[in-house]
Amino acid sequence: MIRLVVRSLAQAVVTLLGGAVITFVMLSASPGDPAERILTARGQESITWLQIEALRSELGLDRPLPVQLLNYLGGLATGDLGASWSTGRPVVDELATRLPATLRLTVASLALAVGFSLILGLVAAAGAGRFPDHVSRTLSMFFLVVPSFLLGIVILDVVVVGFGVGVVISDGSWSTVLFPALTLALASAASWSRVLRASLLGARSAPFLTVSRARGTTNVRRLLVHELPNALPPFVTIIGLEIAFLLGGAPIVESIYSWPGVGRFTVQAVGTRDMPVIVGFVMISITLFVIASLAVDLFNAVIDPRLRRR
Amino acid sequence: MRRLQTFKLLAATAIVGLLVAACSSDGAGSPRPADAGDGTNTTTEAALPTEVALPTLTIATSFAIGDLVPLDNSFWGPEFGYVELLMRPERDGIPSPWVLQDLTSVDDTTWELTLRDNVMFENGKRFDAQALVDLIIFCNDNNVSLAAALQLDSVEITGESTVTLTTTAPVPGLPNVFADESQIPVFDVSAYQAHVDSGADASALLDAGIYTGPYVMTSLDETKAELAPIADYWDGTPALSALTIKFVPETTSRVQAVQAGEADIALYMPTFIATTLKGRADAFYVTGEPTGTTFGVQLRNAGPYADVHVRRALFAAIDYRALAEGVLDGQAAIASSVFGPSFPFAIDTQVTDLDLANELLDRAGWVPGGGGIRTKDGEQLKLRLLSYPQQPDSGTIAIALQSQFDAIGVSVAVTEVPDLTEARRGDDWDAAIVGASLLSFSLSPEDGLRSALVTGGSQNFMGVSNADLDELVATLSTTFGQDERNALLVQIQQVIHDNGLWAATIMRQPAVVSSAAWRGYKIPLANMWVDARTAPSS
Repeated sequence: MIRLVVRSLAQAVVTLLGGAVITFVMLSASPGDPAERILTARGQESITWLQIEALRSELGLDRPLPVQLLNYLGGLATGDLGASWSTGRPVVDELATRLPATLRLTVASLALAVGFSLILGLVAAAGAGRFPDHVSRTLSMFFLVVPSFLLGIVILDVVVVGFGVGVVISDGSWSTVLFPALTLALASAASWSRVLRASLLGARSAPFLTVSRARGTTNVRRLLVHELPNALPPFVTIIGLEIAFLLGGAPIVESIYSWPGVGRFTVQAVGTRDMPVIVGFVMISITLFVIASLAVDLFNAVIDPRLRRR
Repeated sequence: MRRLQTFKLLAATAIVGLLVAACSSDGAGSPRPADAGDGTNTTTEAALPTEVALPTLTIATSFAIGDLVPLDNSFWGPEFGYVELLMRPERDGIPSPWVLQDLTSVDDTTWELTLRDNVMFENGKRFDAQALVDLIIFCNDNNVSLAAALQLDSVEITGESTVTLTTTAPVPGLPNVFADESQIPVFDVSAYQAHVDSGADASALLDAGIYTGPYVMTSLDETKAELAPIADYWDGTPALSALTIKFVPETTSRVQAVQAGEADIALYMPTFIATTLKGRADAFYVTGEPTGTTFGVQLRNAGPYADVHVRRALFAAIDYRALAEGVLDGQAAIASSVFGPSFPFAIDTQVTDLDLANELLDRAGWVPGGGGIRTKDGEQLKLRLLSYPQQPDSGTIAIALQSQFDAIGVSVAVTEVPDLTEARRGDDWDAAIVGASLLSFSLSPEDGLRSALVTGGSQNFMGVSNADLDELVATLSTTFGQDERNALLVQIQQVIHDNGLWAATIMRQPAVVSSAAWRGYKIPLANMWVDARTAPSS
């Protein structure tokens, strides 16, 4: 078990370091002058050459690339992600200010995704091969193929602007979270429900359920008390792994709903090539994914003794 | 049994959670402004029976205001009414006094600045001669572009309300420097220094009252700023009871915010929005008077385009009317000159003349070849034209030019590049559509000419090097008399035309999207969206 934890942590560190270097190099290699973009992003109407040179010097962009990279990695090791080139504030502060809104969105979408997937999966399994199963599959396919940005735009145009329900400019509070969370949750719910359905049907073939049926147990009781607990491990595993996916999908949904979170801030940072912010977001995403993977590994090791012995 | 209870509990929790989430956004969280019926939105305070109901204004803009630190972010202030400048930009490019009462050129290097006697900072202190001297010295010491433009020698108090400023060289464009939002925002230097010395966070400036505008910012976060009127503002009572600025980078969200009643005005609207709003009653595309030309065509001084005949032929082949009225659906005015017609020095040099264009190309040795493309020495006349996504209209104009240049036998390949400046630093281009005009924020032509068209200019990516033009611009930068300056600018435009150095394709109309109540909003000059008199009826 200890070896498993150590190995997973070592992999996590290498992944984080690799992610930081790759992101930094890719952004540095892309065309454009960050100093000029920053001045434009700050809304400067007339930008002079002197302003550009002064800003390049201030940001250290006039130094060789390896020096910039080393400075960045050194800061990273001490928890310093640098300062946003657009706002001049520390990236950690910028992300921390917006993180609560993103976490609120992630938690809400996670709750909705779990709820919907449970409903769709249970309904599909209960009526396997019959009408409820077909309805569940159709809904799942629909939510899987419709991109979240399209769904978000339709909700905004029809429901918010058309019917006056909800808000266009979200303030990041719980009271405005439903539509963004719903948009983010549906695709995940669809795929999770299919996993749950398959697991439930797999669990149904267990011999003890034949005995249970013979003893006259109701279908609902068998589904909820016997099949669902046995079908949960793969369902929980995919949820754990896809929490990072929910965060990764946040930039699109946050931008559509003007949700003041980390994802939307990162989209703006991409537009201005605000390298410290972009790398900061990537680091958060990688960290979250690594933590989720670690948690899933440990969870599986707890529920499956065979894994502990490896 | 315990398992069953657990799952029942889980199921109940999920259902309750969903219901709570659904109920929580049934519109209760939508802060739709109350409509007073006459089209004006009113605040609770303003609705008190004993008071006259003043309107409120909510603006959705794409740029966020970071803080109130002068020189870093204060350039937003003049646009939203919480910071003022010494001089005010005017449509003819000659600024008028704003916070200053008068600005007079005593001789080539001496200026006399006269103060008003009633301008106060929000903190109650008077903006007096000492405050003005402190302000100019502070900005000159901390703003490199100002120091370069101002060339300050000395600044001193010479009367109760008079300050004399001397420069090391003639700076006839000093009024424009004072009217530029990125140069000298009027603020209380001593109060700001006290704030810096205290080591407090920038957010503490919200309570420092260092500016002089009709509105004072009361709160600021990453999503919005809220401002309140200054009751004893020096230039009359502000017309709004409250001003909110929401930061919404996404264009469509800003428009939808107006449609949903969450904003009154949405700023920075691309032309295509006009089409999407046609026939709608919940938001309106409101246009203003163009101030200057935009979307200039730059030709790189290399290959076939080093030939003045070819450059002039291309500019003569542009159908300026079709671009404004057809391609941009009437959302732009015809660009008949390098500058706009509101400037006294503007002369009409941009005329569509296909016969002349063909004649010039013939004279340059480019003759019609196979497929209608002109050739010379076996080489086809091809043009690599750049557009960029940050200005969607540049792509539309580029496609139109492709068709128009095809009519005179020039084969155009349009390329959209992510960074136009970077692309123009290289040599893989022949022409580019550039959103910026030759005018500065305060509508001065001097800076644009110097940077884009003078030999070695910082934005002279075309490689223009014209001795006549260099000399004329140099003379302009030391000439004070307005008539003499106008005469020089006329000559400059003629040189630009005769040598095919620059052409403006359109005069884009500034535009916002407004609610019905603010449909009469007059779009101000130089993005000065809000002043003391801004109101729905204005």
